[in-house]
Amino acid sequence: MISEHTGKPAMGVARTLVTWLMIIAPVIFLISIIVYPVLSLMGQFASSVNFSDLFGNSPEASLARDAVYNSLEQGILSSATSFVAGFPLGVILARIHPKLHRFYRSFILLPFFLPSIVVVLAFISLFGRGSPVTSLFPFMTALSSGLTGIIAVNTFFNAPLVAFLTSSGIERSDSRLEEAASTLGAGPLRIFSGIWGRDGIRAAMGAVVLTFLYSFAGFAAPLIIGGPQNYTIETWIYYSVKMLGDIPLGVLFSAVQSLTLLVPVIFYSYFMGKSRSEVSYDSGRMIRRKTNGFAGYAGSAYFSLYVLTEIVILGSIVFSSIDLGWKNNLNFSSYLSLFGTKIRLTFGISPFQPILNTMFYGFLTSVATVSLGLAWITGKRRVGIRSDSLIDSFQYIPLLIPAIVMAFSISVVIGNYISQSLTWVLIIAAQTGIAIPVTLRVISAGFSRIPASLSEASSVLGGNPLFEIELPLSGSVLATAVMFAFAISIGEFTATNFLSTSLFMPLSVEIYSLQSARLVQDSYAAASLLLGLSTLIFYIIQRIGERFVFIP
Amino acid sequence: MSSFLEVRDLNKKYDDSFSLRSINLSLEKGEILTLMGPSGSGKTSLIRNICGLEMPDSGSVFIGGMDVTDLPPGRRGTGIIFQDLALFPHMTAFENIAYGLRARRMENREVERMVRDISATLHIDHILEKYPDRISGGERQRVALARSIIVSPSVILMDEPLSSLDPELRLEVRKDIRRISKNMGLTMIYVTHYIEEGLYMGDRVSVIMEGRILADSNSETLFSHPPDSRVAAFLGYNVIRGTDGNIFAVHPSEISIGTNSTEMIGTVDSIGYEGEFFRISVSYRGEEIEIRSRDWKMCKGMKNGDRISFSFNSTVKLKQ
Repeated sequence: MISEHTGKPAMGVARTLVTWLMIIAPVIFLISIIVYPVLSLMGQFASSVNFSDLFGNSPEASLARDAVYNSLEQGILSSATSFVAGFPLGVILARIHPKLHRFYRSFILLPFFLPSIVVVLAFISLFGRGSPVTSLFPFMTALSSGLTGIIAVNTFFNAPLVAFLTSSGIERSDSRLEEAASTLGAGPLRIFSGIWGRDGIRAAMGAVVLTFLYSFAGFAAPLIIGGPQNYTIETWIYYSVKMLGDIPLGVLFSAVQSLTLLVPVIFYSYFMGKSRSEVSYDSGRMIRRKTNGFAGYAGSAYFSLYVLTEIVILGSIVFSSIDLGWKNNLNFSSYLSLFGTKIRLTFGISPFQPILNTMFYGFLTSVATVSLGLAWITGKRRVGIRSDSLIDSFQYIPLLIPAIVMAFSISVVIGNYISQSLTWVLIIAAQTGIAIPVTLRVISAGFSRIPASLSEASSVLGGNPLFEIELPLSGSVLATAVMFAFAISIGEFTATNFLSTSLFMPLSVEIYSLQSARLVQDSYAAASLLLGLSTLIFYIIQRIGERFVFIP
Repeated sequence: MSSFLEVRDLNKKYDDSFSLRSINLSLEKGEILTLMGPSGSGKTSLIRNICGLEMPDSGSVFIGGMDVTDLPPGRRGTGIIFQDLALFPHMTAFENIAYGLRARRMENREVERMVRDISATLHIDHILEKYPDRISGGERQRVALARSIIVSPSVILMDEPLSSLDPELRLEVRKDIRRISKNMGLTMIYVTHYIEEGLYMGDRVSVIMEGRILADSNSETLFSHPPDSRVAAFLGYNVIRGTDGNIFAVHPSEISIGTNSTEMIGTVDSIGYEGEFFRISVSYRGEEIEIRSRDWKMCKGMKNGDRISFSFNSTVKLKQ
């Protein structure tokens, strides 16, 4: 404890103003880029909204109500299965601490950083008809289509997030409490339920709520493998706006989705605040145990099986790019085609353009998101605000608003003011907005570990606390934040797909466009490229992060 | 003539339960002032207001005759050593010490010379290339001290800097700090809640409680004549209301245990041997009195519940 009482630091009026501007910078950004356009759009079409489209007796209204039910069903089932699959993984990572722990941790997290469309294609490839897996186990075709396919994709996508946050929660658990409970005679089950397991579950709950939010607003999986009977609200909005041109219906769906998501977003905000407020700088480090016996073997077996499954699923994308349909006919024609004249003829752009766009959006989205996050957290540290305020809760707005509505609003309201050649700005703005809720949590958690006394010592000595102390000490956290922002940019499909034209499309949109153009093997080649690119970027950012000193 | 450092009528409200109230404090150049008080009394808060890490609601801070109340921390000419020392973990001892000089854009050659000089004075020249987590607790204290004094601050503020050290090292380091401070003529406010340490370190001692300065005098005067019951109790005295209604303080070492005295008889609540003396807690007329006795014969064999008689060798009359 540095001080029993915390008061306002010494600041002039101008400096105070700048500091508060820094604190609300992300909120100003979100209001300008998301809230204002969405409200404008809603205001514009509110009078045209026909509530019978949702509450009436027409077949369309019945389908629309089904969409609400589907979203809830997919959200709940995906959350449950992601928890079941991811929680044990998190426990194993944190407690058994297998060899090559860091590598496995990164590898397990990889699917979360992949575009959802890549994961969907992987499931179609591996569990579709004609694959060696379904030849052996025909019932597994259920994983490539319909509700079971959507749940499987969502689980594969989100279980790593549950595992990652669970292991982080357990690793933050105070080992001294565990030792104290042990000396007081508590058994392993009681120590689990009362101490480290409780911390892990609390962290996992945050991930479960996020999983619900992502699955509720699922887009790629319901669109590609679900079919209309499994469309989520998000998919219906896309269908209504893009296909039917029925904007008022999209607006109505959007309002329904936002209202429904309000409750889980509040829960998420609660769990995040709870897990952060209990981080203690001087808490004892987690005890890592070599677990022997049944639990150890079962854990190791599950862990190995999961890693193997992940390798097979991800590998199937690459395999399909060189042998579509598993016909033992290996060839690289899809890659030649992807970089040949076909793409130029189909989309009218250079074959390298989507790759360049992907990198460009990823870079600028990371810079924008992390810059906003740094401004916010630095301002809070200067003013001495330790916990999240009401203003901070506005950062969760992107979780409430359907990405498709966000994109549509941006294109209508902001797109009117800028030329089409600046479409990339809109894409980056949308991706930044979507990345803010997650990335800012990462930055906040990292900075909370830097004792205020270090920044204050720097201030008193006349130095620059941000550049000389906080940034170097938070290097690994910033690398993680960049990684998250980059991954969200690469993987964001819904808004990007809506906003981009051929010239501005990134790889994820190119994959979908290739699928739509029936160039299936080419789409797998593009997906393999995206997989390789994601892995490479993920690896590079991690290595950069490791070079920094990390405050335990 | 005004003092070198002056805090004038400083007020700062933190929450409903705590505020710094009408703080007045002065310090001459080269003087060491100990700021003592129990946990949560406002010691740290006060020095944070002095060095500019917090802004008072009202009142002023003058250093060297200049009003620095509105200046940011880096421009007040103060140095601070935090309880956790706040050594930058990503910098070597050398870089830590040189930090303030580099912030002032001094030339590298001059920085190098000054760091070497101060390190030699503080006997830490052999650990300059090491990181803070690779050096001992005592060495860390010296690096923190070097980092603060190398920029020649007008006033150094030390916030319980020895709290993380074991008792033996505490004694050694506190001697070093006082010796170095006096040799270099440093002006310092030293914060602690350890009475012996505070009395030893300070030329003068201020006692702060509940956000108010209750006493300010030299160590000997303060200890021999605590001004009121709260300060006396903090300094370890027994505060007792006599039969005549007067309140007086008696130090535990100024109480003798007897067998025949009919003056005061109490019941032993607890007794333990501490090496130099027996510490005995006695219930007397509903009050708890602490006795430190070197009377081996009397104390040996004494146990909880025994009734003992005792008398006071000297007492200090306190203000009502």
